Amino acid sequence: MATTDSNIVVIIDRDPKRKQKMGVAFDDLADVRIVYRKSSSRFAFKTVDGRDIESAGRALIALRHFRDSDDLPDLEAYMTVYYGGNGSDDPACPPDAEERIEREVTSKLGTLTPAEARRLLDYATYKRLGDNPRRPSFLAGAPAYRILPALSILCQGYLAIYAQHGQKQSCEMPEAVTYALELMGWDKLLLDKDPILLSLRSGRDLSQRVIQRDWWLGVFGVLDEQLAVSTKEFEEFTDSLDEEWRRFADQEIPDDLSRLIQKLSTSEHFELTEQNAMLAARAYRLITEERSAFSYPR
Amino acid sequence: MRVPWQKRRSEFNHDWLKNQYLPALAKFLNLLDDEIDDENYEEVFVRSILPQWKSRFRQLKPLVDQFEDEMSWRTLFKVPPLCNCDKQTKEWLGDLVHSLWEVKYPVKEWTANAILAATKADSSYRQLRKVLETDVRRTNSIESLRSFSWMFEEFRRHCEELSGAIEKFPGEVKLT
Repeated sequence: MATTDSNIVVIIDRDPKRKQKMGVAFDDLADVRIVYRKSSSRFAFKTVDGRDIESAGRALIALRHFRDSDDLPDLEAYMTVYYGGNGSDDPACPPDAEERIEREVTSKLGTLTPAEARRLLDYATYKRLGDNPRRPSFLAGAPAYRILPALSILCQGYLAIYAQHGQKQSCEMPEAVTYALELMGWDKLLLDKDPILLSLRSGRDLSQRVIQRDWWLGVFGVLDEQLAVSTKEFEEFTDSLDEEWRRFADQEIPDDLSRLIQKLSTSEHFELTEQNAMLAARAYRLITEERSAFSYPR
Repeated sequence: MRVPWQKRRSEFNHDWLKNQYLPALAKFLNLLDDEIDDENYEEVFVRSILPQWKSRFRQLKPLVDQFEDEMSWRTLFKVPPLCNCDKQTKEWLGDLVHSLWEVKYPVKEWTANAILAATKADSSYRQLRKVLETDVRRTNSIESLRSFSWMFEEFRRHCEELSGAIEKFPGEVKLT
């Protein structure tokens, strides 16, 4: 984690449960000062553990509930992040709000997770150092993920057809595939005898459809009229995918994901073989497990 | 950007029920308990605040019913890039991801609990209205309302349960 001279997070929120939960997310990551109001005075504040808020100096982050914007108006912070139960478009949002948490934040719906708290601290720290870090996805204005959720869904469709193709038993499939199917919730569909299974089984041409390159890549607009890969569009697509992955996972795109895309681009068919199913399963697992999940809709 | 369903949920639960209606009910109960003094509030509450329930209740069922349609993973097929899928894929893969969404999240339970809580609150409201329109109208005083404070209390409890049930719906749906 990046560091600066200030690692102080001040939470300004009149809801006691919500501010405590918000503070917990920063446990062990920052010097958290949760502010409460002394009696009905508008200007006298103390932190919960009794430290003067004035002695904190300039905080790294001030987390402010939208409707408590009037409290501690002179508090100095390098970054102020607003939040509330209405999500980022709360009518009480100040017009000059620098950063806002996109989703609804309440004590019941949840506040920030520790992983998000870490990302927020890093984001604020790098900005404080003058860098131009990527805005974390839970903040309003962060670019939406488009390719990764779509790839995740296509992989799930391919794996479902692979599992239904010849009605394979779990023991007949590679471990990577059974694991991915489990992650998808496929075993629960089987237990529930969900009608979708019958529909997939009766749709015989589906096993012919999901192996077509255009079923995968046509969605991303990288094929020409003859369904061949268009070089320029494909390069733009892979650049966007790389960028999404870096934003998503803070690292270079992993080999299994690159290999899946390359294989789809170099061959017209992505047959329902064990090897291909394993590749789709690993790609799905990478997207799913990297950071637990995508927030949807984003 | 949040989808319309999330905004409608916020408007109903966060803006109106939690931050307006329940505090107004609490204030009225305090008035009945003699904990506060506000001469005009009794009339304002009975005449214009309490009846807000009726129109809000009508908005609630569509809100709950539309959760599945608007928040399911299937809706990803309405926006790029998955809107570019062929028609057949949109149907079977849309159905598949919807089924997977339903086995991963207690969607039916959320919906049923919200409807049940709303029905209980509406039943309490109707009983209250009946009392207000018959017994209380005769005397038209805070004293007569006091003997029915338990009914207001029950209505508030059901409204709180409803608010909790609506909060159970996720603020965002995770694509896993």
